[in-house]
Amino acid sequence: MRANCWYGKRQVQVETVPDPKILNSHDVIVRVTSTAICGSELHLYNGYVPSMEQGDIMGHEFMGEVVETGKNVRKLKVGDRVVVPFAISCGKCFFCKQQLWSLCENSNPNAWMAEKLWGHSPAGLFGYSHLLGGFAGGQAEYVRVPFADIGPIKIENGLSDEQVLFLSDILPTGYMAAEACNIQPGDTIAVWGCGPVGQFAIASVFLLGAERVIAIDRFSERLRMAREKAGAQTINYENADVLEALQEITGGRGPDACIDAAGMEAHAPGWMGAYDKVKQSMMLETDRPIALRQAIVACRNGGIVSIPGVYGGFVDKMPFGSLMNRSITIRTGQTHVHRYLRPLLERIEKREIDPSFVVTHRLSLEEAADGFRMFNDKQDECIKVVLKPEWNGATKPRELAVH
Amino acid sequence: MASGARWPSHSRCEGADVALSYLPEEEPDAKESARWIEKAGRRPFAFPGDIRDENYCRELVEGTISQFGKLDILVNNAAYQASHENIEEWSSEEWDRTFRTNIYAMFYLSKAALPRMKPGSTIVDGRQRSRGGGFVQEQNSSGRWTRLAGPGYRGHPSQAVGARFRAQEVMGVEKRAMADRLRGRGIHSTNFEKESVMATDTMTLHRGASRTTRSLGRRESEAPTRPDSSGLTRFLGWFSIGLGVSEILAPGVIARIAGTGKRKNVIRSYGVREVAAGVGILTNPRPTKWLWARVAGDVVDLTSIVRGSRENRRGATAGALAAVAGVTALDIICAQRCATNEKAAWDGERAETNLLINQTPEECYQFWRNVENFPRFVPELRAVRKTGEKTSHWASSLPHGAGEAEWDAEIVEDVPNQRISWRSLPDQGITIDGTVEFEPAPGGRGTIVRVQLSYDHAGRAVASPIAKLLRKHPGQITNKALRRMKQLMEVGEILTTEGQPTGRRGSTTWLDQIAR
Repeated sequence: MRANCWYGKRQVQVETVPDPKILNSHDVIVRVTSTAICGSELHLYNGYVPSMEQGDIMGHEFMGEVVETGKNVRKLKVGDRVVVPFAISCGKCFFCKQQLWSLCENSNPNAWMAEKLWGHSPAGLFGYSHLLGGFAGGQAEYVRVPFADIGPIKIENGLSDEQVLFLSDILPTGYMAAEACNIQPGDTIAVWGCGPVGQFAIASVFLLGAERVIAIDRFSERLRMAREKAGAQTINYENADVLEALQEITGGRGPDACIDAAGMEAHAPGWMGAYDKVKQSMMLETDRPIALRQAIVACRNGGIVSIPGVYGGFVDKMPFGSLMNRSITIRTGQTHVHRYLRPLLERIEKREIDPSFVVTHRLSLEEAADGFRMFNDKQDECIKVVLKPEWNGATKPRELAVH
Repeated sequence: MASGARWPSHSRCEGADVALSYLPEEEPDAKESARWIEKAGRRPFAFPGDIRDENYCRELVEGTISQFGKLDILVNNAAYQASHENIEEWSSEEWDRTFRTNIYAMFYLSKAALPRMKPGSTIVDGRQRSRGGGFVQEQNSSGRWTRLAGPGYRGHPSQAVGARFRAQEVMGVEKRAMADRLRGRGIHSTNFEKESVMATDTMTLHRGASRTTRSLGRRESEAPTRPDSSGLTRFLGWFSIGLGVSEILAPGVIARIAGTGKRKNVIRSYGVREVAAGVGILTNPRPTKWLWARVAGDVVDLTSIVRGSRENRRGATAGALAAVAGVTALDIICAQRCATNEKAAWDGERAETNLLINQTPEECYQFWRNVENFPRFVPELRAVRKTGEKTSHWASSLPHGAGEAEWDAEIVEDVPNQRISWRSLPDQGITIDGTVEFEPAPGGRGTIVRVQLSYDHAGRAVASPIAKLLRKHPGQITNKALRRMKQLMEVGEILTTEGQPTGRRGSTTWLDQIAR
């Protein structure tokens, strides 16, 4: 089969690799019909996540059709159309039973590696480094899915791939980030980063009853999407001082909750951005917590800072005094996707949200490398890339979304 | 309860009331100790007598309990030791007294105390051991070391201590066996060495915080048979740091003393090197390689002094050369001693690991008791066959790539739903002894499975460094095996990625190797 493999910093390439096989009795093999490139994969692409190996198959947002089932699979059968959560969870351990699915104790065969870095190991993830299990990902024609009775959700209505594909990761991620904000009527929420997760966070915050959302980014197309599709006020941090602007909008109190949907590769103009870039490139810090610092300082007293953005290691110059003295709560974590699959699918069915609005580029799987480059370099107003393995070799109905 | 003079000060730290046993002629020392205990706001109970007498031991225990109402910690501290150059010089009376004080008393006291101790209690063995070669030393209540064997001794330490340590070995073996058995009754038995580190360990154990991961089996009790270099090591460590700091802060002064040109930054960089070596020596339990690093540094220093020497400062140069050469000699001696000690102290390997499994102790016990389950979660095992109710035959590939081995094992202790201990039968070229305990986690949250394994094999020494690189260390194997057992018990199978597709162009990489 064809699969998009990682070969080094800014090097991904579609290669012919062996087809996946059933390896455990709870596995299924899924023929991938749609798969997306996730913003968190740009951290792999840029070489910031350790323990990637040459040839690792990328991709953790995917859906498709079950073509083979292991002997102990009960709920799925060949032909079922499924969306697969990016976290792999056994469903039986202490954490799975508490719905903390991304902390499963039994799904990371390389748990010892993660323990060395983080103290304890979270769950294994598809296509997200050996630290997190080294599982082959879904940017491929076929993919093996472990614990198939626990994770995948069956799609049995006429919804299109693009309407349900993002249940695999970014929609629940944006939603969990919003849920963490404990939104009360009248709340003002600020969101750093208007990538796909940021867009879904904004949409979810409104779904949960917030009054006002302020979105922060520097790319005009992303800010436009946040305004027009998600309904936020926007700040372009290259043209304005974010903290001053937030003070002004909120009458000096600060947003009730702040969401950092930028993560470890945040940018900033001026000396602060340069400082983190230099430190990160000299390996003196692993992550650039620029958005996180701002989010903490901006947040109102007693507010919540919710972090769906991915961090890998150690950060520097955290305003911890601000956090402590002003009773700020931090809430974060890899998304417990399984928890949100059913409720969010229902919201999609009820037309409360149509996640397909974030898609700007639809490419064949063969064009994965172009997709990564455009998404990473924000070329061609790229916000979200969906890859279609089925278009390989066939005529590709290539189109761009109109925004 | 402590006999001897040093323990009360430690017990004081823990806020315990202390009963003291002492020989009538030690009355002044005992009074001093009692005074310290009172000063700390605790109650002392001084009870003179001779612990060689079993009746006295019983009275001591009963007296303590009638005084304080309970007995939580028994410290077997009292000891008698004499030192002679040759075995013929030992009198039979001395020999008898040594054994009666050091071994019989430990047995008498433990026997009398055990029925009166509750689970969670501690027995500490803190026998006085020799330090500094052939001298037998004892610490008095004010913390000073005194030599018991007389000041005149100059012979080779190993001759002097030979006979004495036969006795200690017997004691060590007995203590280990006893500790194993007591653990099952919820009573910790630990060795207390004179180093404060060990004392801290003791306290940690007593408080019940016993999270252990992996330890290497160093047989501390035998260390004194080799030249002790810890004092010299510590000196060199601090010397290194001191010199390093001087070089960093005052490179000009150092240059003047050494009679060399003032290349300040070079001298500062030497300073950084010295500090690093010093910290390495002081913080590393096996400092040999740091000591050799110092030797290498000394050579650099010597070369620099010679090459940087100034015409008009020949005197200073010669002085500096002599000083550095002297330190170099010390470094070499110390490094060699440490290397010898580390080599000899390496005594098989021990692995201790534990994991919380979401099943009841009964389920975990049943799973473990059926030894034929083992190859399912220990990939190194080829086959395990039950040969009797308590015996089994094992076939395994060995860690360290040391080939294959087959052996017979027997269960030596089997407490249903709580504990299983087993050992390999003797004379099979391989020793694998172990204990597994099943401890109910609080709040019904499953079972904490604790495994202790000690392992030794003839092929071990050769391949060990490579094996450690590949993490195929017994500790790793045990840890991984427990994880796999957890998966089997919770999920019913072990999740694998072996055999999945990859776009890897070469063969397997180091990551694959260690991941498996």
